[in-house]
Amino acid sequence: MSAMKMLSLEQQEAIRLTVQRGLTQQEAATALSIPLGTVKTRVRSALLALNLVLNTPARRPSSLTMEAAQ
Amino acid sequence: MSTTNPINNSGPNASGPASLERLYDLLATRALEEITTTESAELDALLRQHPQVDPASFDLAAASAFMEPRADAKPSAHSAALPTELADRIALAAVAELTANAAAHRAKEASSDRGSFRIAHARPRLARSITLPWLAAAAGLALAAVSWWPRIFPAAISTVAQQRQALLAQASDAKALPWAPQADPTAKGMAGDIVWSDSLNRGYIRFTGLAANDPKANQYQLWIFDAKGADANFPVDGGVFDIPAGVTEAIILIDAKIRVGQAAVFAVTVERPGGVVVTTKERLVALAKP
Repeated sequence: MSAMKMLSLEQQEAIRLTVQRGLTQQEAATALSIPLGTVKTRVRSALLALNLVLNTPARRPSSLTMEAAQ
Repeated sequence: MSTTNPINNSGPNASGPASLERLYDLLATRALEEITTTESAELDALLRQHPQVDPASFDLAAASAFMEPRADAKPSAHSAALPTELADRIALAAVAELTANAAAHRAKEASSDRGSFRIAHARPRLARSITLPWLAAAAGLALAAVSWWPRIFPAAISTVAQQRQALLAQASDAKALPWAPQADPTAKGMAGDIVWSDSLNRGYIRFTGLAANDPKANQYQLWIFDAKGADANFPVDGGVFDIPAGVTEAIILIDAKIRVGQAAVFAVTVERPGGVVVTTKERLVALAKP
C-alpha cells in the first residue's frame, strides 16, 4: 500500500507540492491560499506519519561491552 | 531503544513539547529547503536537547514521499529545483546501492582519487526495513538524475572524501580519531581514523592497509559505544562493511540509524556475513577513542 495514501488529503497535497514538485513551504502556502503555518503543520505531520511507516523495531543490545573493548 | 522514530520523546534528556515542536519544524524545513545558519545552529542545539530524535528521519520520509507515484510525473520547472540539501543527501545514500557500472563511472569521475575506494556505505544490519525502501527509492532517483537531473549525480558521487572534510570543518564537535590496530591479523599494517559528530549523528571511517575481506565468509562491523545510552556498556551497531581486494584506502560513510548521545569508543570487529547482534569480540580489529 502506498504510504502516501495513509495521509490525509491535505497532507498529501502539501507533500506533493513541497517534496514532489519542489516548492518551498511559502510557495505552497501561496499556491494553496492558506497560511504558511498551516502548510508547515501539514508537512511536518505528514513526514512524521511517513516516518512511522518506515520505522524499525527497537534494537537488541550486543554483548560486546565497553570494558571488554578497552 | 529505537531512536529512528522521531515521535519517541520519552528519553531522560527530553525537553519541553514546545522545543520538540520547533525541532520537528526545523527538521521538516531542512528536508525541503535550505535553512539559515542561525536555524542550523538552533537545530544543532535542539538535537542535543532531544538526543532520541533521529536527525535523518525527516529526510528519509521526504525521500520516500518523493519517490511515490505522482500524477504529474513529467519533470517541471519546480521539480528540477529540488532543494540542494535534500538532493545531495538522497544522492549520497543512493550511490551506496548503485550498480558496479555506476561505481566504475564514479571512479572515473573522481580522477584525483584513483586507487582509492570511495562511498562504501555501512548499512546497519537491523535497519534494513527502513534502509531498503529508502535506498531503492534513492537509487531510482539517482538513475533518473542521469536523464534530467544531471546536477546531482556528479556532485554527490565524487565527494565522500569532501563530505568527510566538510564534516570536520563545519561540525564543531567533529574530530578525527586515529584507529589503534588490535591483535587480529587483518589489522596488521592498517591505519586510518574515524570522524564523528555527536550532534549530527554522522561520521566517516577511513582505513589504509586494512586487509580485504571475502563478503561471503565474513564482514567488518563497526560498533559505537554511547556514553549517554541506556546502557553505556552496550554499543550501537554502526553497520557492516567490506574492504575489496586491491583497495589502498577506504572511506566509508557511517549510517547509524540509532542516535548516539556521546560516542565514547569506536570498535571494529570481524563477524559473519551480515553482521551480528551479539558479538563475541573474538576478532577485534581496531579501536578509536576521543
